[in-house]
Amino acid sequence: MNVTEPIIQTALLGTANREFVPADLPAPLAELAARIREKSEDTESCLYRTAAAVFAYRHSGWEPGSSEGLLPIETAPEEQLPYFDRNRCRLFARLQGTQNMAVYAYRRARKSGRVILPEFLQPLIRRAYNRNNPMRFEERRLLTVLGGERGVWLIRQMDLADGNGGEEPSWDTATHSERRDLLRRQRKKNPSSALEQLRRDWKSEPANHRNDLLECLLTNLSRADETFLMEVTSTDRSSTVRETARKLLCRIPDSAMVSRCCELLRGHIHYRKLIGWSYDRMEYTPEMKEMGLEEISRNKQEDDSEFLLRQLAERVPLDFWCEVFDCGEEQAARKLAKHPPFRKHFNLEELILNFSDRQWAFHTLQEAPYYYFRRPELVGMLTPSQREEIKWPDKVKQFTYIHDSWFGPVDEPWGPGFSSAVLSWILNQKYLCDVNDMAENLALHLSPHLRDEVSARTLALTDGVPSIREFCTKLQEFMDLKSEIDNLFND
Amino acid sequence: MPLNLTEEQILQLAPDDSSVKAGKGLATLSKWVLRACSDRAVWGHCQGSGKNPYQTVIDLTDIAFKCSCPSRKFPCKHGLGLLLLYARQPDQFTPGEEPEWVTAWLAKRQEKAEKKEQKARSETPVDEAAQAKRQEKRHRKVLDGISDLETWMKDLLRNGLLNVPERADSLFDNMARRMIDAQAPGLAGRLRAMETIDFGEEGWKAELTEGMSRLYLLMQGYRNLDRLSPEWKDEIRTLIGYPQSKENVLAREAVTDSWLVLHKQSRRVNDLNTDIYWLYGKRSGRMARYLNFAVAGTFSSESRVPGSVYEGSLCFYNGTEECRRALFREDTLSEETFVPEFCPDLQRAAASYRRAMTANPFSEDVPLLVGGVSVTRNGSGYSLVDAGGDAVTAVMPEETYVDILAVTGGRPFSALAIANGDRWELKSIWYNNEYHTWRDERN
Repeated sequence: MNVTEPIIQTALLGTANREFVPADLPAPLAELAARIREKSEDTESCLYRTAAAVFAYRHSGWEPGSSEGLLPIETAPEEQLPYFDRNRCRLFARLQGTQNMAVYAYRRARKSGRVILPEFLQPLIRRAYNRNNPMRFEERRLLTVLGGERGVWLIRQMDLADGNGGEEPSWDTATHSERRDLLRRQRKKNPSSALEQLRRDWKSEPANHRNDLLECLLTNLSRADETFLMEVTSTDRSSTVRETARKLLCRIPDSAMVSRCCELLRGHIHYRKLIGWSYDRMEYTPEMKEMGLEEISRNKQEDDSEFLLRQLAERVPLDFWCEVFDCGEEQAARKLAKHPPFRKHFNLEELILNFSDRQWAFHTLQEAPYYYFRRPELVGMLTPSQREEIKWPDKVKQFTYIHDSWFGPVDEPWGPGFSSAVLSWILNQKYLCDVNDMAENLALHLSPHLRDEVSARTLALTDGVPSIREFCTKLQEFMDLKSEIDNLFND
Repeated sequence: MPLNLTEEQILQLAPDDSSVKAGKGLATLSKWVLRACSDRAVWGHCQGSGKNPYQTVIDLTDIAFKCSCPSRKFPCKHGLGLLLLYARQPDQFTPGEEPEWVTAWLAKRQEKAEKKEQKARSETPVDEAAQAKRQEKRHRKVLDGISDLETWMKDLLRNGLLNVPERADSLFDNMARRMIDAQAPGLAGRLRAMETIDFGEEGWKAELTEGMSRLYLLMQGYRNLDRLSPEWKDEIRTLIGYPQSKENVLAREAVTDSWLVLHKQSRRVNDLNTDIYWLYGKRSGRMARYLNFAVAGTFSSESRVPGSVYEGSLCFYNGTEECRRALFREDTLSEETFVPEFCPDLQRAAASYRRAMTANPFSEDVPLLVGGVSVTRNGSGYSLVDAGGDAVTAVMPEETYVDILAVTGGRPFSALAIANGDRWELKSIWYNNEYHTWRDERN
């Protein structure tokens, strides 16, 4: 029996409302209570004293409860792999404040055949399961290896693992944005199964979701997607979705849509060395309307027939231009960059990006590197070795940020030439935004030989532009951090 | 000088979590344009946002910090960053002659320590008559305050405690202020503790009734002071709020031992930072509480590092509690550490708790060292269970629970728990003889 309960009840109701009679107390306590009652001047004093005695009695006889009914924790399996030393584990903990450095370190560490000490795991796991972390899925995959048996077990205890072993949410239970991410990743791994996945739920999705999901097909887009896209173009209820499908069809170089564009354009556009470009007139037809071509140019200075030809020219691959120039791909790309048709109206960068043709971008930038000012994604399409072969300008105006596409995978370094060029463009600016993110991303990719130059520039910048000074200091720190990672996880 | 502190121990010195984060951020070589050390100190220049770098120095013989930055935190992020960096990469510090600003600060510290020692040796004689008069005056004031408090408590009880939650905010505060005026800060503290009871939880009724009855018992104890033993006299006076003079405490017989810092609790009340260190003596097996106070914006050089061992003599305050407050007469940081002795199961730990509560019913926060336990979820809370089938409610943040699982893999471990009736707060654990603890701050 709980000896304190009657006293608590009386105290709550008040002695004015309920008479206090200590009853049902164990023998020694009852004797004490009787003595207290005799000596107390009033009921309140008696209750307080008795309560003090009863609570003291309770504490002096306190016993632990029974563990019956409590589910014991299953013990973690024994770790098979050796642990990293504390220095290396501390480094992982320090990387919590960074964006991509953690993934870089995980990738470097993955091959070492060691696992992270258990006491360092919790914050790393929480970060990898944070929905705001864009790198979460990759961090989860890497932590499954680096966290060892204990890590996998701990994720289960933290109720973070889902049906797919903590990897990815399942398609059926995922939210729309999760489905979009899922589809993109699936397109990278297995484009045909991703297409099948999309086909399955296609009709039940609302138009805006269909449009978002359709855009995911851009990853690894190929001839195999053409049939589905044709279907969508002709049957979908939403004009936005139909337009997206049509645009995707235009991005497949050997699709029927692109081939038809080539056929229509062939013979209507000519290039001669001395006189340059000449165009034959073309009439607007209902077929063209169906293909999404417009009849009248919004630009009054552009001839409508030329406008029609330009629209077709902006949908044809490099092979077509090889035919026009009667030369190989490199020559054609270079000539097109040097002498684009339709004067300033022709959008060559958009055309190259449309087909995601890396070689085309490379030859174009070789011929005219200033094109990248208009579309920095072109630079992002090049491999690090291709970037080294381009003669970049010494100075660039308004270079306040670096396009994400330039960075590529975290463990793919840039060559020295491109690194120097980018660094000098940045350091010649008057203001930089997102200094921290830019410094971290750059540190992952810049050639290490620039560390001394950055250090020298930092010292010289004591009275310089605050954001540039801050950038230099942060870049140094991140470069040092990367070099520490490289040293500690040297294969 | 080799630094005998781990990174975790250094981070325990940080005043708050933001300092931990900032300190970690500054523990990189590029932040320090100068890094140097000598046998007794380590110093450096940290480039901040200003033109001139901040000068930071750390006394290694008795860990203490100084920095030219304007931060009011102590230690500041620069001090923490420098010490972390020195712990991680001592070879990156150039051994050299101490510059003037370092020697000046070290000399000042030494001078201060000597003055303190000198002062302790040559005290001016106490005017005992005047002191007795002051004591008598205070005693009368306390008795008056107790009379008022008793009347108030009886009124409250007569009307019932059921309506206390809705007016708890002002109810206890007014009376606590009255007790401060009556020079009974201990009683005021107990009233304020009742104000902070979570009246949304089921257990508030028992907590409030017990708190009020203990307060009443304490008041009666003070009235009957003359009839009590000297130990109980001191205990009751201390609980009422009478200080025991530091000099008297230090003059008492000291317990010389290797004192392991089991845990550190930091509390900030009315701009006063209080650090409570729970200590355990290797040879004596005694436990002690060492308190360190610092007003916000100032610093104390009396920090102790959890998990470290201090060789020295501890003088205990008078009282009846087993684990009492104590002062270091002298101590040095030892290079060795050890694992304390634990009760083998929850039954024996409960017996220790019962002993402590029988010896002193006013006891709160009873430290218990218990081995062979593991943690498990119990609804939305946690439980400590042992192999004998016993369980107690364990209180800890979710992060601590997960960390314990990570370290132990669900296997049994040894722990320091601070017991308060049915609630045992899990503070530190030992697994495979390794010590783990978590920051314990409350403002």
